[in-house]
Amino acid sequence: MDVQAPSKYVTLISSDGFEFVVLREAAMVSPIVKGMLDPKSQFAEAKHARCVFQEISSIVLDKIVEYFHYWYRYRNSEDVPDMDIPVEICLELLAAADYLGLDHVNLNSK
Amino acid sequence: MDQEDVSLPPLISGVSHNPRKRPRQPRLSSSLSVNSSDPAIFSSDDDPALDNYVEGRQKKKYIGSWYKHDPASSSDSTFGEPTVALGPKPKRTFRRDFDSGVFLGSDGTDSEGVPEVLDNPAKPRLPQVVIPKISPAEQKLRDKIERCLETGDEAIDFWQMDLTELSNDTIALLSQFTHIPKITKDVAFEQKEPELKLYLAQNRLMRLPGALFDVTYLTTLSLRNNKLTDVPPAIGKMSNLQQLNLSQNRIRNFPVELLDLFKANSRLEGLSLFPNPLLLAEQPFESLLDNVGEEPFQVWDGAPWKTTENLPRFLTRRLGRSPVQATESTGKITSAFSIQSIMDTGVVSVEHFFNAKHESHGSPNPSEEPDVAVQQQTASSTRVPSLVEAVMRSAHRTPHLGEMVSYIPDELSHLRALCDRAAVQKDQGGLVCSQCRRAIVTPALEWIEWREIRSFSESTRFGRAGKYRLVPISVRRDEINVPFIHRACSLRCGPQEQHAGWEFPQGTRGRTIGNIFYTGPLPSEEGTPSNQ
Repeated sequence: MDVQAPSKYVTLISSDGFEFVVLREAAMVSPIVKGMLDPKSQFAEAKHARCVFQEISSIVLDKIVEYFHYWYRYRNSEDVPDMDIPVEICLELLAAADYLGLDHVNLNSK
Repeated sequence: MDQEDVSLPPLISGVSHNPRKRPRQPRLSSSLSVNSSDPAIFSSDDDPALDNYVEGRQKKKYIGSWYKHDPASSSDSTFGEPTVALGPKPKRTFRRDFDSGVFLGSDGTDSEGVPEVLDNPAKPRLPQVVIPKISPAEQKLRDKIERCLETGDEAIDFWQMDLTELSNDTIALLSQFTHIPKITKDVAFEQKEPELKLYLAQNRLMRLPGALFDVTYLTTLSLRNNKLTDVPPAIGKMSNLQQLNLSQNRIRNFPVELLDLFKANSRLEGLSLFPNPLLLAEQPFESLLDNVGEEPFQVWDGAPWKTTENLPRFLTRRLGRSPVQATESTGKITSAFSIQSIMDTGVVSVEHFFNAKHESHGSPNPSEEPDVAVQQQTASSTRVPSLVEAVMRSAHRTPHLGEMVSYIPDELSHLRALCDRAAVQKDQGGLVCSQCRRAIVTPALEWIEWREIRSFSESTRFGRAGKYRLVPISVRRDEINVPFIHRACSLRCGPQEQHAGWEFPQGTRGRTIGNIFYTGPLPSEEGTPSNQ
């Protein structure tokens, strides 16, 4: 990938091999993903715009990706609907969200 | 009889044992006779029809009580050597008869596999339903509630009963309460909502169950002289409350949702909030006791409320607010100011004074310098909750919140603490954002706002209708400014610049400038209407 013009989309890969193609701007809500994909860094993830999460299953990563887009869509709106999260994945998602640093309310929406 | 037994010769098995009966010759050989089963039938045998019936299956016949026979020496004649018991027979002790077939597989060969003393059963991996134990005092209350439910007694008096905790289950019984009408002749039957009165004064309650605030028909709630440290925000749901007594507790601040009880459709008449160790403002507010009740409130357009329904009984006005505490969704406080830290001293610095000079019209105070970090964040804030918060809100809605804690591994103890806190909050009725009323788990922002509360009543002293008086609910100087805690879901719900005039609760019309109360349009359009 060209460092000067980072791709618009990035690929997130779950532990069981599912690939999720996400808008780069949306994925930047997580400081961890942002750090991994920082074009200035020399991480392999940044070069290829691919992040592999060995600890996160596809079901959970699917929800995380949904959250990225949920955040991206409603970040500037006044009326934000609740995100639907099934109770079965609550715990795993909670741990994953903590891991990805998604615990700030005041996320920069540049 | 025992003596007689001793003298008898050993019995032959299969033979009636009664000494008075002549012994009968065994029909079959002795080897078969010990077998209790039916004799084998072969195809060469005679047809076992009724015609060929000669003699019934042989059966042991005993006559007399069981203890007159001696089973120890006679029943197992196959193995038992004929023993002669001398003297009074020893008591039979229970022992294993290895060949009796009763203790199958217990012939002593497998005893190594079975430990003599069983260990404690392994901890079940699935969470078990814990049946909460209730204290005797609470059981008494429960009985009392049940009695009241039966008799239709609307006053539940539980004064000074040493009650330390109150569970949701006990209080939930109250929601079943229905009014039992009195049947009198010539009076039309009418349905009436019950007016429950719950007196829990002089107990030792430390927290309130959330179910209490769902008891819709509660009109009187007395919690005087308990050990409550805070009031759950769910208290705003009790719209039928007429009397509320929270005095003599350990309350440091009230939830701002308490002001919902002042709404137009609420019926609150009596309110006791003092004494409590309320949070004090470091800097004094303006002299507030001036003009107390001296000047009547005037109605501008001469049209007092046509109906008394919309008449507010309490009016409040903002005095000032503390710095803002910012919290991450996991519960980590990121701001310099923390509400927890000031609980010990009980004195809070005031960051912003609402300008009382410009009553009714909000005007930005130029001297105000809010936390730079907070200001920056507000500019780029969003209403979208963090994922941790979104997950917690979902979990909060499910009944499994309490169980989740047991699944969290030790490495994630901060998440466990978060779940624990959420479970406690849920037990007390949950938290809501003070601004947008969304259910939240971890408020992003919290701050204290001081308000003055006055009761509002029509004045008769001045001889004319349409004049109103505002009477302070307390004349003590330190009880004028009542601290209310605000919680916000996001920075957009954070503290806003608002007017400092007497605020008319939702549902009531009107606004004030000075001591004049306007129900209609303002005399001059010098400002926008600042109130609902």
